[in-house]
Amino acid sequence: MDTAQGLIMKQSKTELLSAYRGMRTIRIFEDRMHVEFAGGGVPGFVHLYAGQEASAVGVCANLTDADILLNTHRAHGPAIARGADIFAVAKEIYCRGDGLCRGRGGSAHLHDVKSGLWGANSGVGSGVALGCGAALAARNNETGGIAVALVGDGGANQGVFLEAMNLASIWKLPVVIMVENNGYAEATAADYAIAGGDIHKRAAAFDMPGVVVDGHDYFAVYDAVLEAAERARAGHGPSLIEAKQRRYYGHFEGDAQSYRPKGEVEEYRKNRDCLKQFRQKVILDDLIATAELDAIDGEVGELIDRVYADAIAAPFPSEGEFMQYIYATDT
Amino acid sequence: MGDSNIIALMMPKWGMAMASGKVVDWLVDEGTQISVGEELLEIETEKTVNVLEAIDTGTLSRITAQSGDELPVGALLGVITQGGVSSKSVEAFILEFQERFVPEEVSEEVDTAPLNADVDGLSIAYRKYEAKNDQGKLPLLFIHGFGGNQDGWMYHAAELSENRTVYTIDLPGHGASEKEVADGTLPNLAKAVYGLMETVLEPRVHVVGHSLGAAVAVELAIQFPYQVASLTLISGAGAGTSVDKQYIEGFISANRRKQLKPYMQQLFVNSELATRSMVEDMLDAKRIEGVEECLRKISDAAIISLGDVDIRGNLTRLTMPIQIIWGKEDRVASIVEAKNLPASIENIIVDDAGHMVHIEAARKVNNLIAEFIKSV
Amino acid sequence: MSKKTYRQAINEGLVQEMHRDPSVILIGEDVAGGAGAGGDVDAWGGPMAVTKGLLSEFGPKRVLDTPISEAAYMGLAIGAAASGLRPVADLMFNDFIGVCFDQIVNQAAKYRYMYGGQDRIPLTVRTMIGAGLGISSQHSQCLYPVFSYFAGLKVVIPSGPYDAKGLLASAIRDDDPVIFCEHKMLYEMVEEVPDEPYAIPFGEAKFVREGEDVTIVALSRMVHIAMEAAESLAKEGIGCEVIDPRTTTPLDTESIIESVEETGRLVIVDEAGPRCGMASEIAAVVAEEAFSALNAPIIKVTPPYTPIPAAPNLEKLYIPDAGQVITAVHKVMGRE
Repeated sequence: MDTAQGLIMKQSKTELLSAYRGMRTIRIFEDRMHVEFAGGGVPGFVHLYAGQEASAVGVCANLTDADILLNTHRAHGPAIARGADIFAVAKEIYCRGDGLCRGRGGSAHLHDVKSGLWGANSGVGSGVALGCGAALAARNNETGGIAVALVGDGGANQGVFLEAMNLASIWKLPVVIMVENNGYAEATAADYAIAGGDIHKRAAAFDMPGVVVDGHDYFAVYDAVLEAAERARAGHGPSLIEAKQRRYYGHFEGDAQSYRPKGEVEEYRKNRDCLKQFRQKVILDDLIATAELDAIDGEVGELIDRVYADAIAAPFPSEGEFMQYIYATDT
Repeated sequence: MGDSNIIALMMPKWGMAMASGKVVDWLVDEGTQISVGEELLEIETEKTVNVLEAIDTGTLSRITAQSGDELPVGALLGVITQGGVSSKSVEAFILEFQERFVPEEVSEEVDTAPLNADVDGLSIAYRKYEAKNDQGKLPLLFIHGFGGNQDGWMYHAAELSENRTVYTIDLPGHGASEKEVADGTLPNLAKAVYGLMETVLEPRVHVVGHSLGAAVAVELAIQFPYQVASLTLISGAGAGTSVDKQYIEGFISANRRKQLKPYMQQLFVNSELATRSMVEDMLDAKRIEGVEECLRKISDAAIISLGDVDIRGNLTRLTMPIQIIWGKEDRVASIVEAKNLPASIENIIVDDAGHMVHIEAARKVNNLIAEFIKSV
Repeated sequence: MSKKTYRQAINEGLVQEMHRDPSVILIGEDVAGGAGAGGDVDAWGGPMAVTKGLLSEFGPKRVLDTPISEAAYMGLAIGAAASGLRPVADLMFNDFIGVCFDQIVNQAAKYRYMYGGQDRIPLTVRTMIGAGLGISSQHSQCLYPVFSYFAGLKVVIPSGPYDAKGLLASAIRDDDPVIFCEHKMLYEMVEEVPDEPYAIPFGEAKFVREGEDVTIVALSRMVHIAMEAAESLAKEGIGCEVIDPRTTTPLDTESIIESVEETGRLVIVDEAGPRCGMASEIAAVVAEEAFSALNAPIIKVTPPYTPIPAAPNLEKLYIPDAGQVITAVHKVMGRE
């Protein structure tokens, strides 16, 4: 195994390649979704994750099969990063019958128990409470698993978020609270809505570690999550990570984003982009050759073409199954 | 011209818990000449609907209770006259009866919980009905059928305890007994009955068994012939009749009213006797943890496997007096084997009765039991 | 079999289910009472002492006192249920649903459906309902009609000790979220209750009393009010059939219709408010499916459309009583 060096020596080359592939997959998937949505044919709302890839991929690189990732409504990226079948992910966004949730959930509710991916959730902030439950069960059943709850800056202002932080702390639950602060709760700026501006500082009030990292830097996210996860696994309780980041598209597709400062997205794309940062680092450090990364880009491009063709061609759920899955006895 | 006489026809008391009954329908008209055993009216209790039969001969001169009337035990239903009695005397009789009548105070505790005894580490429930007039006669022990319990003897136990002590028992896995039947075989069930007799009852008894209880009674008599003074087998699965296996399975697995009702109806000729509350009581009993498993074990070991075995052979080996009572229309255990029984066995087939012949013709069965035991 | 109070029956049911299945845990405010307080660690067992003794018997890993954070611990309970535990979450008063409504109706109720049947949520929420203690509007409501609105939840309203124990066993063993509504005025009610565990299936109404003239459907504590009325009406020769649905989801409409088809008259007695409630629902179902059997309009006996007052005389006015039921029955019998 060729181990990477310096700052990034914690991960093997294979792991780094996989992280890059994950981020590129999400980027191309979301860029394509942007185009497809504008062309019609994608039902409901979609919230795109482009720009924030390092966050979900940096989290998931630290997770095992025993762990649970609590997704948010900006669900596509984390679902792909956690390893859910990307064909089923796309089909769920298109509300197809063999989508991840059989077309019952759609874009904002991607959920895949077998991948340890839970509850993309429209009730923002709830994932932290649900994650506490997964963590309690993991501890009671001694599975060794932890829960990592993704939550946005918007969700961080929910009462359930604060209540759950308190509960996680007094019970020392194996939970990592990953706040993806992308600067906007829908159209309202975090700078306006977060008292003091920093969500990680709230951790101190709940007697848990709280750190802030650049959410566009895969390595920074990876390291912060590694530390928090180790703490959780060791039985020392929860931690909070605030990963500051920006989305490249609107709150949902169709959002004209007139609330955003002119040039903000362009600036992030140009100077802060997670894929660019990653490439620079691994190429400069001579860990991975440009050609290898380019080859991945090509492969992912082809994959995404197939994923979309497959999803668009797939049938909607059978109407006869409309009432299935309400109760456990419905099978 | 014989003696003239006025007899009050009163609301009967069927079972300890019965405080009142409702007149469903009169089966005879006012003025009819009636004889002993004649069906007079249907009375509904909390548990079931039953027919009150005449115990006197005479004329049903007056009907004082109408269909739909809910009346306490002992209340006047009608007046039977013998010989020439003037209507004035009848009126006076009714007036006096109604003036004097005070419904019996029903204490909350009247439906006493059964007693429990430890029999070889197993808790077995039973009831004792002290003889009202103890003449030192051998006691009588009732054993209920599959899925039932000792409450099923509500029409019999108290009534037959006039001259002798009566016991009823809950078989293992049934009623208030422990929900544990080991392998569920007849010898095991019989052992529990014998164990109870040895521990707390009396060493020698007359035994009445219904259905599975009859089979247990036969097994008891084979193992402990001296302890069984006589055998009355009702709807005698014990005589090796073919049992409806579908009934057994359906009865065991039903856990809702709608599922269980048809099986309860199958027990009676008149399916209306399987009332909603009877079905609910049965469901309540079946729900108790362990009951279904016990029933299944007994079904496998003592019913299904023996259903096709003709155990008339066993009966010929027994020397105590035996009588068998069958409901002619039994739809659970066919009565085909009522034929070809040894001549020494009293063989009685009751018309218009099914598997629950002891409920459907309670008075008749009580009389049969009383007469039979008296003759022993 | 022995006589037990509603409180004892529920406590016994919890103990037996916790022995039966180690994945059953208890979560809520003061379910033990006294956590970290320096005095007794099992001080309360809930404000009505229903869960008294469970901490001592099962330990702090399975009996967890929470902060006053309904949203957090309800969400936690759902997450734990999705992970294979069988939490019994104690929502002390059902009125507090307001602070964890999202968790119960948007998370628990939707979890299985919205995620395409991947999960089972074996969660039981025990909660107190009902007026009668003079504790005003925020502690006295009957909100089972609210819970019953949401497909994905099951709702249980036991009216006595026997049903409480048997339905609780079914609730805990059920693989779906169940809201178990305990009427606070019933805790002292005594009834014969088997000592052994037993489970009463959901969706099976109980015919508490049979009668041929009027069907009275009564819910939770109102079963006893209806029975009081029925006994009195029997003396006038009016036979009331009193039906206790026992669960509002699933609702045994079949038994109600079967009875109405025999009696031709329906009175519904419900302590929940008059609008959008189970009384309205049952009336609608019967009007749709058994209209031709009706000999008189359906009458609902419910409290008025008002918050619940604390003053004893006003609260008494609020709660339906036997007199109102008798008046309603007279009306459907045409004996005004």
